[in-house]
Amino acid sequence: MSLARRMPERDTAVSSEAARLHAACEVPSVAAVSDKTEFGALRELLFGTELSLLEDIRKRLDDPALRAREVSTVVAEAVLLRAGKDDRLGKALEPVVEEIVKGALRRNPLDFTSVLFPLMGPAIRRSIAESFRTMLQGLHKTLEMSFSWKGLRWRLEALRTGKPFSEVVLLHTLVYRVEQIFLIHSATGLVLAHVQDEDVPGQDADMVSAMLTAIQDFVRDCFSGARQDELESLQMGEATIFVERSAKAYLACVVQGAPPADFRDKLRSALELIILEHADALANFNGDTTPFSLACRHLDACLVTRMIEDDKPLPMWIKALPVAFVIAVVGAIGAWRYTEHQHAQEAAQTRGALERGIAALNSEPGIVVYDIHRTESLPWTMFCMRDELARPIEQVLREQGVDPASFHIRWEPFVSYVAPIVTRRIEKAIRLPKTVQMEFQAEGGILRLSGTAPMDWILQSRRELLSVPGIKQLDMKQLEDPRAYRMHELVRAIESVSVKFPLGRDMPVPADHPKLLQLVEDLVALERLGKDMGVSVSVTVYGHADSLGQEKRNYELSQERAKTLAAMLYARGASIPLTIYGMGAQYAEPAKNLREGDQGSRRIELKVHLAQMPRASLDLAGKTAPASDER
Amino acid sequence: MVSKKICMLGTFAVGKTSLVEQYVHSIFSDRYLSTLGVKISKKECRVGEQDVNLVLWDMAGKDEYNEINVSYLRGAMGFFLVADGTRKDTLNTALLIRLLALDVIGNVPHCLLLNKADLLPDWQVTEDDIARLELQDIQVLRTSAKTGEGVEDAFIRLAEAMLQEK
Repeated sequence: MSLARRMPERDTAVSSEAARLHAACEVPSVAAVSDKTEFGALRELLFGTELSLLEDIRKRLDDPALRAREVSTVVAEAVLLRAGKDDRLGKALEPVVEEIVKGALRRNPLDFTSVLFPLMGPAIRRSIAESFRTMLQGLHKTLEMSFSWKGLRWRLEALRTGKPFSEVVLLHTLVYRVEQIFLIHSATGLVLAHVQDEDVPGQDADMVSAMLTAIQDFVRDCFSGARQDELESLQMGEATIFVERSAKAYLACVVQGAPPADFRDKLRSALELIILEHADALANFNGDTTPFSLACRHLDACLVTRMIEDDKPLPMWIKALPVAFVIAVVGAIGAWRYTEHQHAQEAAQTRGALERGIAALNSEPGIVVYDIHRTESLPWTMFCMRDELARPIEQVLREQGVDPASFHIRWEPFVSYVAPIVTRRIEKAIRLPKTVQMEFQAEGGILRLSGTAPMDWILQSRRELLSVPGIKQLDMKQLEDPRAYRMHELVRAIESVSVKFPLGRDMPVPADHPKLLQLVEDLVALERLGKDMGVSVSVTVYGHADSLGQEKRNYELSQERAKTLAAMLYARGASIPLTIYGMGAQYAEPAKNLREGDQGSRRIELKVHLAQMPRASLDLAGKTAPASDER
Repeated sequence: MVSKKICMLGTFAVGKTSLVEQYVHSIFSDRYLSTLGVKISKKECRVGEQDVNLVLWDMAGKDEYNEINVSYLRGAMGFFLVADGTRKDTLNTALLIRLLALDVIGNVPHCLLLNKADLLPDWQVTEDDIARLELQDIQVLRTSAKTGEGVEDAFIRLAEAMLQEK
């Protein structure tokens, strides 16, 4: 209503247009007064229609009610049009609307409240909830971001207990105050010990504890029924009485606010300690409370007050800001210097460790350090080559007192020709018998083996060793098979035996009889050795005669001599196959050289036949192992 | 300090609460008697060289409708049986309660108080009755909650008896 009333006055564009129209109509109206009839008739004739139109317009402009009615038909469109054009209409209306609302509020505030409440109520609730949520989130985030000891501890606790972090924070920040703690004898309800916060007005502990016991009895009798349930807590407003009991005594603890969840555990621990310390006094309790005075120290420990830290200390803190700033600056410089010093020390330590590490690794057989360098992202890096038979790099470093973690180590495999590594490689390749000695000469890569070993081992080892990296020459000349050697000895011994015979006789001279015993012994040994080595052995006995006498007789005689000797050998234990040949005087000295009593040609010779002569050693002198040439 | 729990037992209107009030101070309202069935009071006294803290459990009176709450008897180190000398039936009830109490808490020191000694001419309990009780080893004392006669003496005697109990 009031908006419509004020419109004609305020819309200047509309009112100036109306004034102009009014002025145009005003002139003929004055003339009409002076010459009313004629001029009026003429005008009527000329402008009859226009005049009535003008009159109509004039009426509309003069009559405010009519004008208002007309404006009201277009005012909504006009406002819409203007509002779409610019914000001047809004600005123009702003003080008016403000005034209207103020006036209405002053006149009838209750109406406004009742109208606004359904709208504002939920909005306010939402806003509070949102603020609270934001505050919690903020707190959560702050703590998340903070590395304070408390924050970390709570976070740990959240992890440990599986509770949400914000819940742990709430648990810890809520205010509570433990006002009084009663230690009460269960049966009599007599107070044994009592502690209370000094700010709490005191009451008679004896009566309170007795009444508390009575209340518990009452509640138990009324509501517990057959079950032996107990009252655990009493709640009234902000105060709670926690009851923690054992068979002989119980604790009643009056707490304002919400204590943390672990408070009951604390109470229980205190009670357990008290029970433990006063077991005798409790068992024989006869009203004497003196022994329980010591229990107060456990109760005092539970008598805690926790407040949320408020802003009160802030002014002090602000006052201390400049000092704190100076301390911080000095501290920062100190810390920086200290850090620099630490860095320098660390660098020196690392350098020392590097030097010792390089020396240790380079003196270790089979390991070679070929480069070290550092990058921005990595610490010192040591590049090595390591033979697979060398000891682990970390072990070598540790033995020298160098921590392998002081730097980064990268290594690649390689084959080392240094003597200890080649020796390890040889020992790995062949099983060296105790009877074999090894000597490796790194310069030239010469391996010398000496001693005795079975021939098949010698041959097998030779094949293996020729493929061992690092061995360029293999000298096994000094390596012999003892059995083959023995066989050679026996053959030599047997073949060197010569048994002499008297002139014209087939029995050996008595002086040579002892030789036969040795000969038989050798023949037996040879046969056994031959069997042992898989070599078939036989012996031929050649009988000889001198050149005296008839040739035929000499043949016979030589044959006889061989036969006799074979018989004698068999008779003495020989079992080796013996073949007999009579050689006559073919190999005898010519008769003209022969002297009386000279028995040189009247003799027996033995020849050993082996199906295959075993080798006693490998003579590789001067030969280069083909495999090592290739390396 | 030695504390002793004492129960005041007896039927209605024999003057238990009046006796206690004569002797002690209490921070709890009498309303507790009707709500919880017990009211706690306390008296500190001196017996010889010993300070004793008497915690009195004034229990609601027993009649044929109300049983004594046995839980409240637990742990009592002594008890008073109170009877009205002017009503003999209250003595009989007291003797019944005595048997119940002895059954629950064992043979602890106790004393029968014949109250309303100020109204001696109206007494129904005779000297013979008292003599019979004393023959049963029941200690009987005359008290008056109104004048305070014998009240303090009764408490001191019970305290002494309790202190002698080991």
